Amino acid sequence: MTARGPQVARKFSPGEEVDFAIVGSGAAGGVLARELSVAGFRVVVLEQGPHLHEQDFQHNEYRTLFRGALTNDWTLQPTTFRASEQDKATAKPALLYGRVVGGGTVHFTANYWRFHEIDFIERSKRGAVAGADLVDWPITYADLEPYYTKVEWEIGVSGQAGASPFDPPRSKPYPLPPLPIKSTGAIFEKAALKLGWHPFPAPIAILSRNYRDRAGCVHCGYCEFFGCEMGAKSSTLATVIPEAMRTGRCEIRSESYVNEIRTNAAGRATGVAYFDKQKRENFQKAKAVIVCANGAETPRLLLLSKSAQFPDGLANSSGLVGRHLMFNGGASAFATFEHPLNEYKSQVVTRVVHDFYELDPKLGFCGGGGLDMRFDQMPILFALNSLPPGAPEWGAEFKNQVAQNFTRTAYVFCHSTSMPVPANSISLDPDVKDAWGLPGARVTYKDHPDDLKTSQYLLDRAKELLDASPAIRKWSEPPREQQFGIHLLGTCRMGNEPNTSVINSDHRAHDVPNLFLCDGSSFVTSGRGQPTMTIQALAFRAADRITRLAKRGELGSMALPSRS
Amino acid sequence: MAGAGVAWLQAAWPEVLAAQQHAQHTMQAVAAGAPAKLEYLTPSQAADIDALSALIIPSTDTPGAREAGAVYFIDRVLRTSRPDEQKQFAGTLAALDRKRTEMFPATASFVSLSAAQQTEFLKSIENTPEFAALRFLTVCGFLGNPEDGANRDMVGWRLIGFDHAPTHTPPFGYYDAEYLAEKAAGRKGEKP
Repeated sequence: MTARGPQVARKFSPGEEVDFAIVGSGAAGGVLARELSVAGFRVVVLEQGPHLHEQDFQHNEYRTLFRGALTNDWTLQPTTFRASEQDKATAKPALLYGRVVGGGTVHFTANYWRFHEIDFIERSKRGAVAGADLVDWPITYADLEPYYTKVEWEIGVSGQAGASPFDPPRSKPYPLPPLPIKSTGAIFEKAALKLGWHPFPAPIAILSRNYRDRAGCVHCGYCEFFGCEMGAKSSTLATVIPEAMRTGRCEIRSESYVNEIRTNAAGRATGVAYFDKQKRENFQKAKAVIVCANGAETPRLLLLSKSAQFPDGLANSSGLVGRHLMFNGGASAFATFEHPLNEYKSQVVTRVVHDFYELDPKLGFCGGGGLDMRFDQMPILFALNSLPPGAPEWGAEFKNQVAQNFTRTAYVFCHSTSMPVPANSISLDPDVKDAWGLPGARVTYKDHPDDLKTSQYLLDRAKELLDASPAIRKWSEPPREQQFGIHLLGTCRMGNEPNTSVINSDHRAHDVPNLFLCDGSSFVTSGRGQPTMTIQALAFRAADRITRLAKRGELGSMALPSRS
Repeated sequence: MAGAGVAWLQAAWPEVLAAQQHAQHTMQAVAAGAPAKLEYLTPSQAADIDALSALIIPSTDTPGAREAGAVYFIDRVLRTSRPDEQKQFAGTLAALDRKRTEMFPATASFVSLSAAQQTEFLKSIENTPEFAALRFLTVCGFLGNPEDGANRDMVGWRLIGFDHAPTHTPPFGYYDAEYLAEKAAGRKGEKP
């Protein structure tokens, strides 16, 4: 740890009123903790999961994937699912999210696409979509551009500016060159060029070279689903969280599961109640509360925080808390190749196309997306799930197929829009409780017909691409209605009007002046399938807005050096 | 580029490297044939599981689940599992016993069946949760990490071409090597 310096273990007592209690330490919570503590505020971050470090991350597929080391555990926190509000939900895994300090940024793939202009103004450009409540964002790409650049330079993103003709304008190049091309990238680029498309090096939040005090990627391959033991993946755990701790004004309180945001008679938040590791109840006092718990846990916490004053849940006068849940679409076309690709080496994605980011309105449906090519499964997952159709599940031929295909399999992955459908939602399950006795998250979700059409359209492009490649065997399944979400978006949407949105463009809850929400729940549209970059740009921007409000004295008397 | 990263790492993060070396040593110790013994399963349970796993991933001209020591991995997983998971697995074994005696009355164990009967039995259960559980554990025992008691001598990884080196350098596979060679040739061709 010498190069990175000691991390000061600042401790606050729960009874001590801090400036900000931040719920969640993932993509947004980590950024806000750093920005606000660097600005001089006293911050406590409450994180459900443990505080693991680089030395805890192992090159061990069984332990990491199948012993639930980095993500939510459905045996402790059961979820339920139903396709429509008329159905009774049944208990099944319906959500996946990071449950460690750093949240999903610890195990993610680190695809860092910016949103394009269209994502903020799709409603104005395309008009209404039946069965969806498609609206414009209250901010535009131009408002967010400086913060996209800030993300790239503050956490370290590798890419090539100007390589895609579809890219929105940018004020600065990437701080790091693209990561080395892999076999899927080479196959994808050649085939895409044959088809007249515009492949470009993937923007990835992993260091292609040493950057500031962190080492570049060594291509170990234990990347998606794993924590990076080198700190080369630009998770908040490896970047902004240590910086927040070094201010001496920020405590990361791990294994602290927040179950309620409390309010006073004036309708202001007073702090957060939480269970500690021993399941003892505590209360952290704070002048303001920022919830960055992800697009499922943020609305769930607001719904859990109901009171006489807020009978439908906190900040829910609009009735929209939990609604407009969006997962993004994801269709895949698989193939095997004659020679080894060895996709298990290095990070996951090296080439992308955005030729289909905005689809022609004449197609008759609204949406769009991007394509990449990858193989992100280590040996066990591959053998269990990804043999070509018709392969036996046991015996000599099963073994033979595993042996032949592990290094030779890949797929084209289509990432696409989800329309904001009001009925698609996170709510509290009336029956199922978690291990702390709290109602579990109930997921109601049915893909909008346009989402399935967009997925099918992109899947057809993926098949064209494989036809233009040296693939030997090709297979895919038609897009199906999703029953499981990893991208958790849209459930506390941002907007100017208190009756049609939950937060304003400062991320401030319309109903509670010292409560802020910032994570995937803030999204108004889904983007094209890589949300984390936008979550972090929003978080950097929210930090500026919140700091301005605090300096104006709107959040009570806070411990800013400039004010004392 | 990757080489520079490793050099920097060695200078700045000795403890990370030390941890990796420790893991490598552990793996080598296991690979060197540290004697495996059962700590949870009874000998007869282990014999049945071993025979079942050897049908799922058989020994052919290359090693299978038996050579990988999958049953010892399964034994260790069960020993370190939560009580509810242990109970669930006991239920799996009991269900398999029940089905076997329905199909082949008066047999005492799976290993006591003839080869043809064993295959017939496995075919009859291949769509059951019990089979899925055994297949999952067998695959993990064949392709998991040697330090967990799986994949002895890395026979599984060797079979599928998985190189468990702590770091890799480009080119990684055939098609990126070909791409880079073509780019290099193209650049040479452009020269006046």
